[in-house]
Amino acid sequence: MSRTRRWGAVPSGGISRRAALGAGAVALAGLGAGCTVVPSGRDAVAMQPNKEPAAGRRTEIEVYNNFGADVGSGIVQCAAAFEAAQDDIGVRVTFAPAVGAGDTVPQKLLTAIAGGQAPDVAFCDAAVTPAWTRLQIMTDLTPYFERDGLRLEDFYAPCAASMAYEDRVWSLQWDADPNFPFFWNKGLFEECGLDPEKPPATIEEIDACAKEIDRVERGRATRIGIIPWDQYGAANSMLTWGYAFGGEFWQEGTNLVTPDDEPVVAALEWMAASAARVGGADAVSIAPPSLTSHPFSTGNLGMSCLVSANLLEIRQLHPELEIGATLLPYQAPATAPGQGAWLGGWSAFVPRSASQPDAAWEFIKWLAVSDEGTRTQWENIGFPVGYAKAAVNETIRSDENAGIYHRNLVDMKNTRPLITVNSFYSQQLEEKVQRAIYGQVAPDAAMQEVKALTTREAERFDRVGEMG
Amino acid sequence: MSRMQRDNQRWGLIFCSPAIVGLLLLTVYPVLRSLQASFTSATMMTSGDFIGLSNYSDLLGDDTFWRSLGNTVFILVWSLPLSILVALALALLLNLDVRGRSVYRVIFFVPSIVPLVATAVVWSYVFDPQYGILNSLLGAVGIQGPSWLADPAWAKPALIIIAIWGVGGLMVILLAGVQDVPAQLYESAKLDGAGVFSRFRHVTLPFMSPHLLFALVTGLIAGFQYFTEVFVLTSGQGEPAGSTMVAGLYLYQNLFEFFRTGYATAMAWVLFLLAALTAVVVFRTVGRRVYYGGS
Repeated sequence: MSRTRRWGAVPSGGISRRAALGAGAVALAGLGAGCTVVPSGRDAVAMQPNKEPAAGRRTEIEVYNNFGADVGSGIVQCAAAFEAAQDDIGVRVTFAPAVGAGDTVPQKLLTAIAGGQAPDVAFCDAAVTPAWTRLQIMTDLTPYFERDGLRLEDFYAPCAASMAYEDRVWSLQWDADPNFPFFWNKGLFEECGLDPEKPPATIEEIDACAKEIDRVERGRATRIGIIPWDQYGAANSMLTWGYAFGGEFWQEGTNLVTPDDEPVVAALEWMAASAARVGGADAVSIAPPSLTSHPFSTGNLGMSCLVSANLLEIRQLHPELEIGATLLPYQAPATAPGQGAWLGGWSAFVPRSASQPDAAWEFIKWLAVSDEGTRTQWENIGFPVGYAKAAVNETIRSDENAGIYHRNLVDMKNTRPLITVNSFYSQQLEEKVQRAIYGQVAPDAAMQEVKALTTREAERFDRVGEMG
Repeated sequence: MSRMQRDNQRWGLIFCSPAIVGLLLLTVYPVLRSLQASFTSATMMTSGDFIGLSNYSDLLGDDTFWRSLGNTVFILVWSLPLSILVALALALLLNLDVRGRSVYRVIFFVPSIVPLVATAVVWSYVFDPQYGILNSLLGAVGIQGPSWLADPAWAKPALIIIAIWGVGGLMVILLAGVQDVPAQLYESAKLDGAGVFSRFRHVTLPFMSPHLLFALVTGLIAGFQYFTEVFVLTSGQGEPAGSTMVAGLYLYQNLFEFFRTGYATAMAWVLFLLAALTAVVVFRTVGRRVYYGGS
């Protein structure tokens, strides 16, 4: 039998069967071989997000660690330092990664709590407090808080606002990451004929700079001034620019959301116009998909918001990049740079069904309030702290990288919407903002839809809460 | 029943009991519990109150649910027939007598044993508009590729391509079916003057019809459960602009993000009923045309 016989009547275009098989096999192999991961440059093996408790302690607590990589490893180091600081409490750190965009869905934690196997300490975005208290997930920390002489006024304002709900304290903010300071690539500014020492202070100035930096080649934006619709996701972008335009997202103390606030809609219109200027959101292609650090590190992005962890990583991996830092530009009716910043970061809480709430409180108080704990956190993780009286704030204020975050935090007023349906609201913003960015719906109609759906969900959640 | 038969039955039940207990505790109980939860206002942390059919009636008015169902069906009706066609073509090719046939079989089977998460990550690289290998290949022949997963219009076709890539398991089943076709039937057909297409149409296809029915039914069920790839590729958001929000993902969001356990379980039961109904329709229509050998 001839091995190169034509393949009968099958419409293979005269390709031999062996060639057909070979081509398919090569294509499959090529798909795998053509993809390489751009490494972050960190020693992943050395970083462990787990830890056994120290031996011989009278009490053991379990801390759920939803962070991997360097932050996860930093949590372990903090736990070890806490053990070294006292003799009674041992700390088991269990890796319990959160999933979803921004690692906001603590699937393992929620399952453990629902199954009656809650850890003693867990971390959350403090904005979930209104919902989680209604669902009886969190322990009321007010008695501990008052017993140890702590005062909400001693925390930065947005931290205090997020930690407390209905006059009770539910968590301690140990990472007060302001979202966001504003960074620009000085080298790229210079290359594009802009003054590298003069960052934009207003939205109009952002636009003026971006127009000089944008480079669209064959329908793809391979260099871009700013990607305002993707500052850590569409919902976070909307919060950032909505506040920067002077808008409000909800009526404080209520569940009434206001995404249709005029400045918020104006911010979305600006975001959509920015996308349209470079040929649409899908035309942006400035970084390989395998890049594990922030796209700002590629040098193809002129201006961006950055969380502190990303800034540190970029500075570590790309010391050649000259990065300028300033407060977030604004648009009237906002009156000054930095007004768009809002509180991100992480709070520590004690699940209601925790078996060792007293020891758990000692750990989170040490981590979030004590001079030793806040300094240990700063040195091993590097997040700004929420406790305004912590001595380490002096160090953070003068730090080359973190200084701008601290400056932002001190005057910051905004938080995520502190409502019972924060996650639903965020998901609605994520989708509808994207639809507006892609031109599928007008910005005002998108925000009206978000308002209607979130209002309906808030009413439903209130009914469920009463039943629960 | 003789004493020996009774003994055999007793010992048989004893040996099967771990599996039976496991099935009852880990499958039957959760299924029944989820049915009960679908009639309540349960959250993840509270059992809620009985609210009758409210969750089901709410689904009727939930635009996102209908959109997610539409996306699920869209992906299903494209990926399933294409997957079966590709798997069938590969099975026929790999049944041919060529040198290195085993190597080819391994190569085409390997994608189906790669974990779905890893598959999704690799494809996110492949589909990158600027740096991805797919658009590079298209560019080499003068075609400017789309933005794939970043473009609401192309995100679902990209997911369909990923689904087709993992047909290795189905290919092996169909290959077994091809090998089951009696060789003498091909020879008889050849002697009667049948060409390659006629032999495929009148000999191969009838003998493979049970395998194809199996592929169709299991593919339909899996299609309604579609989740992992889109969860990984869109960070659980159904991006861009909700264009890949499938029913499984919306269910997950309701359960873990919005704490609507009762609502999510109602959604799960609707999906189950749709899958079951579709399977019944397939059995009633396509199933009648299946040839099981014999007369």
